[in-house]
Order: sequence, then C-alpha cells, then structure tokens
Amino acid sequence: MADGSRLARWRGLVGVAVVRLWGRLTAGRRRRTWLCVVGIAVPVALLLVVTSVSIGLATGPTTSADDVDYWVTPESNASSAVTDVGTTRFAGTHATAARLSARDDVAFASPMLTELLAVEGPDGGTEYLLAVGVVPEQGYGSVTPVSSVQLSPDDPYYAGGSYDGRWTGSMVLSEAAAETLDAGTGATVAPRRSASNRTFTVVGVSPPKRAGVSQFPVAVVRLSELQAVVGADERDAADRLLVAAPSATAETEAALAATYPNAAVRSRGELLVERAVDEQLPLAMAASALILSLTTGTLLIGTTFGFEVAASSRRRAILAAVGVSGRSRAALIGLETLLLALLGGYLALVVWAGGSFAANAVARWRFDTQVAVFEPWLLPAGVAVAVLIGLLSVPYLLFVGRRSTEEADLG
Amino acid sequence: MTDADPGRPVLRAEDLRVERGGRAVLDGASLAVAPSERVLIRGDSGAGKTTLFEVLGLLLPPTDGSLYVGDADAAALSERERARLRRETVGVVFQEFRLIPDLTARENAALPGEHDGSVDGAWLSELFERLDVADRRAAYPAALSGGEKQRVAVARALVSRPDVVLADEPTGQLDPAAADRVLELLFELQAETDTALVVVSHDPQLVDRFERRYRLTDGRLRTA
Repeated sequence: MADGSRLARWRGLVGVAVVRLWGRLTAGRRRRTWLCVVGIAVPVALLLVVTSVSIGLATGPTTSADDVDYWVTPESNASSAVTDVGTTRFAGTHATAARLSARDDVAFASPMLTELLAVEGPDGGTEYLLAVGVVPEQGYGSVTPVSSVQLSPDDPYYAGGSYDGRWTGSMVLSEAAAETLDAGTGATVAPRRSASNRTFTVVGVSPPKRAGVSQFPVAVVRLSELQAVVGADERDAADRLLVAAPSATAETEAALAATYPNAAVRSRGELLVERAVDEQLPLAMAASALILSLTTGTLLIGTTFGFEVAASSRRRAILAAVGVSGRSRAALIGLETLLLALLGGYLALVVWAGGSFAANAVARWRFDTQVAVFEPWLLPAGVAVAVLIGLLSVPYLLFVGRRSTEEADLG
Repeated sequence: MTDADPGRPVLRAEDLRVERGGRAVLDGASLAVAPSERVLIRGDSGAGKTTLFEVLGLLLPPTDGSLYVGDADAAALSERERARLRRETVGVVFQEFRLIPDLTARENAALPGEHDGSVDGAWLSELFERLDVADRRAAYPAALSGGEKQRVAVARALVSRPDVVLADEPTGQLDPAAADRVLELLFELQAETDTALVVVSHDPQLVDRFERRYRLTDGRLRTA
C-alpha cells in the first residue's frame, strides 16, 4: 500500500473510531461506555493523588523555598535537606553571595546556615529548634521553610566580616516552634550556647508554607547572628548558597559551580528528583501505586470494554460485510481502546484535582498542613499512564474481538 | 465501479457447494450476472437463499465450487483482498437493515469508504437526496423508521458505485407502501448507475419486475 493511501486509511480509521466512540458516549449504550472511561480514570486518579502526596512528603521542607532556583552545596551535602546539620560547610559565604548577587543574571543570593539549637523560652524551659540563618532581602521572604518576610533586609552584625555591627536579635518562629516554646511576638528567646549572652526577640510567627514543615520547630534569624551564636563566624561558614536566577543560562550555572572547588549545583527540578529518590518510602508508595493502577486499570478496562467488544460482534460483522478488512477491524478496536483510555486519563486529571483538594482539606483540618502538591509534570504523566493501560489491554481485547466476530451471524 | 466489459459477467458462480451440519445447503448452484442486469432468486424458507447471498457477497467461503467477481477468483484472494473487492465492487442490503446503532445515518452509509478515506461525499449527499433521507442524515438508527433504515442501507450499498448490489429480502421488514418505495428507488438508482442487481427473496410479487428469475430448490438454481 502506498504511503498516501496508508495515511488516508489510518486517518479514516481514526475518524470512524472517533465517531463510533462519540456515538457510544452520547447515544445507545452510554452507561456501559462511561463505565469503561471511569474504570480507567479511577486508578489513574488514585495514582496521581498518591504520587502528589508522596512528593509533598518527600520534598516539602526543601522545595518549600519558593523563590530559590538553585541550591549550591558542598559536594558531600548535595542532596541534604534542611534537617541535615553538622556536615561540610562553605567558608567566606557573605562575600561569595555578594559576588553572585552582583551578576546581572542572578536576582538574589544568600548563604544559609542551619543548626540545631538549644534555647531557653520565656518560661525558662530548654527546647530544641532548627535554627536557619540567611541574609534577608526585600522580596525574597520565601527562601526559607518558614517565611522570613518579617526580618528587615540586610545583615548588619556581619559588618564586613568583623562581626561587631548592630545586633538586631530578630527571630521568626514557625507555629510549631512558637507552640513548643510557648512564645509569641515580643518574647525573648535565649540560646544556651551563646558565649556572649546574646538573645533573640520574636518578631513574628509564621504559618507553614507546605507539607511537612509544620511539624518542625523552626526559627529563622539573620545569618551573622546565628553564626555568632553557634561559633561559625570564624570562617563565615554556611551549609549552602540559595540562588534566585529565573533567567539563568548555562553560563550562570557554570558561575555557580565555580564558587567553590567542591560546589555542587542543584536546580529545583534536580533536587526534587533526588529528594524523591532519597526518601524511599514515598518513592515506594508512588511505585506501588503505579503498579496497582496499571494492574487494576488493565483488568477493569479488559473486563468492562471486553464485554462491550464481545457485545459489538454484530457491529464488526456489519463492518466486515461492507468491506472493512479484519486488520482494519482490529485497528478499530485498538483505536477505540486508546481513545477511551485517553478520555479516562483526562477524567482522571479532574478526579485528581478533586482528590488532592479533599486530601489537603483533611490534612489541614487534622494536622494543620497540606500534604498533596501540584506538579505540572503529573498532568502528562497521568494521561501517559492511562494510555499505557489502554495499550496493555489491547491484546486481550483483540482476542475477544476476534473470537466474537468469528461467531457473529448476520443472516 | 470497475470498468466492466459489457459482455463479461460481473459475478459468476460455478457449482457452488456449501455444507452445514453434514447437509448440503447449496449443491452445485451456478449463476452468471451480466452488468446492469436484474436477477431475482426465489426460494422457500430454508432453501438456502441467505447462504447463497452470503457466498455471492464474499461473506462466506463455499465448501466447493468457484466464484468470480469480475476477473477475480474469490478463492485465490486473501482476506484483505476479499474485503477490498467487497468494498469496491459488491454492495449488500440486508433484510434487517444492519445499520450500526452508534453511528448516524450518514456515518452508516459512508462506512465502506469512510474508513479508508475514499468516500465520495457529493455522491453520498446525492444518494441521500434521491432516497428521500437527506433530512435524516444526522439521526441515529433508533430514530429512523423501517423504510428510512432500508433506504440508508441502500445508500450504503451504492456509495462506492459497486458493479453489483446483492439484496437479501430487502422489503421483508417493511409495510407494502414502504416496500414499494424502497424497491422503486433501488431500481431507479440501479438503472442510472448501470449496476447489476441480485435480489434474494421469497416474495412472489417481485416476479414481474425482474428480467431473469431463478428458483433455488434442493441447493440448485433453476430458471423460473
């Protein structure tokens, strides 16, 4: 067959499959056909909900830094989360961040130091906080897991490296930290390790931005002040550099990688994947959900559409009578299955949106946080899984179609 | 429609034999249909008319014997080639219409050409006009009367301009008025398009309207 007529044949077959499916969905045995669509949509939607919850659990603390496009970390810390402390650190970080911020292709850069800190709250009891130190910048209050917007820009205590500037002592607590310390705005928090008896004053309590964060008692302070408290001021040490560079190029990434000999640069997407892999439980959840949805989806469409295919034997016998070859009739079964799967995939996206909304509503009500995150790549992934379910079902449906057509009688 | 030689039969069956359950339903049936010819095959119920219709329509391979559609020996063709031959040279009209319920009237009639992109839309529209179903083209079969369904089936049989149209009891499900109307239109279009017409029926009222008549008895065709 010439390429032109082969193309015309396929175009014609797709056209016939589309009008037949449309007819099935709108006239005649509508209920059965819609059942097939739902049979694909439900497992795919469940997969998407489980995956978005898994991603939320795996990446919440780190990727909650909404304004950050790149994380520059020492090689050994490449995929560390906010909760990883006491590892290899960069030195001279204020100067490095200032150098990066001066670049045209970098909007903002700040070192970030995290340290587990024993503090004394207003009631005199000792509690542990995860202290996060950054250089605050106007418009970049979302670079930390808990918003630092209540810290005014700049880091005056650093004073060009002399660490003798004005001590602001401003601290923003997460809701969990405020609850743990029983401290509100205006309360004094005293680090137990501070040699200079420096204290902090709570200037705000910030709600969690994403899944996972609310469970941690987090405190955000200015970098130099945290360095002074924990003894990291000698080398101006920090765990990582946070960089906002929305229009970054390969040259930008090269400049970031050149900041330190052992620097590892991770973009938001790379970090998300690494975190998902590192967090084995959510990954296992997502993988199990994928296998289950493929299995149940294939079984459901095999059963429901299998009945439909078997019941349509006379229709295919009519197609045979008007000159549609066996190969074309088989192609029609395959095309109709894939179209159904595609429709089921799109319906799954709608169900997923509703399911994620419900999961977040329950999580907010019960745990005061949200668990499911929206990742754009899940949209094509959901449709792709639905199509894969369709493809896996096709051989069985062709077998059913072949058997039932042979038995059909037009007389 | 293929370029048929005016003297050469468009359909030729020789010594067709079909066995079912150890019984010969057709037993040496022979027939030759010339271009534009009208042929009536009559027979009692159970005489094997529908089996003969299916064999002539390339829907059922005979147990023995030969069938030629134009120059093509049906037995020598693959399933795909037979389907193509059926699509391009043989139109079929069934007693019970056999329209696909989830396709509209137009989509049903376009089926032989629609799936390979060869349908002639203008010709199909003309057929719908001529068969008085133009205003019903978007209706699904469930919304059509018996007469309308059969007229859509006639349009489907003629849409690819076949050399021969086979009709199995085409008026069997219709009231007399609708039956007359369908037959009139079928004859009219058959004459205009130089298509041969083979009707299999037990209806005695059709006898006078055909040039050649056969009777199927004991599995054989005899001139009536």
